[in-house]
Amino acid sequence: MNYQDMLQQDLIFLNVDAEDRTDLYQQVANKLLTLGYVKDSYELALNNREDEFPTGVVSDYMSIALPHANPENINKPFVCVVTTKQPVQMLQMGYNTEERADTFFFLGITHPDDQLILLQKFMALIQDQVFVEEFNNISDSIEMFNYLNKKFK
Amino acid sequence: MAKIIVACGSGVASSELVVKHIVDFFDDHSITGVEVEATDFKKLPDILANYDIYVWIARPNEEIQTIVEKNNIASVNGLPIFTGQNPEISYRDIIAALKNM
Repeated sequence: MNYQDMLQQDLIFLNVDAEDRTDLYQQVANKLLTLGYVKDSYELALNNREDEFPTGVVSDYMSIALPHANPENINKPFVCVVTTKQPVQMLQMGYNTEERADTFFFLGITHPDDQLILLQKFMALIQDQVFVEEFNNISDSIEMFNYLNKKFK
Repeated sequence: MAKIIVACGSGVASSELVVKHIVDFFDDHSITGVEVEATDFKKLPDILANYDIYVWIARPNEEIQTIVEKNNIASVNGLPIFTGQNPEISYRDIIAALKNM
């Protein structure tokens, strides 16, 4: 599957009002379930994975997280882009130190090899100051979809 | 042949990405004879002892730490490679470990 096809207009949720991580994950998991991208088991798997192996990443410009669950909980590959109204308390990958993230790229990965490039792309983008400024200035989900699509080419 | 294992939480993406970066780095610097593989935390305890260098992206737990020490495996922080922020720190450690073998 082409990694660009993983970006979908109906999977961009901006300025989500979430109390905390659990609340955010529940909201996102419900949407993904309704749209058929994930299985019933996804929300629990997502939380378990995050508890055991945090997915937060901090660059000079951005604090994000890359929540994901094991492939068996996914129906079809996706990237779900979420920003939150208030920052959410998260832990950083590998270091398990605290961070406050307001941008989340939920990765629905079924075949690691095909989708590596996507992950690589995100890592490069969050260290690109111009990207981060432009990303943060977009409040409309259609505009965000078009912008990210362009950036992922 | 020197063997490197890269391990993340679930093995779905982060470890594969780091493997790809390390392989590219070796290619760019004409370093040959090193095998680089990805795995997840579930499989890691069973196979770790077969490797010379362990690159971690998810924090190693006590069980892993014990295997590392018992088998004298070099342990390298792979997060700088994963995030692309100062990856030379990880590469320097990997090279040093290869030289020490």
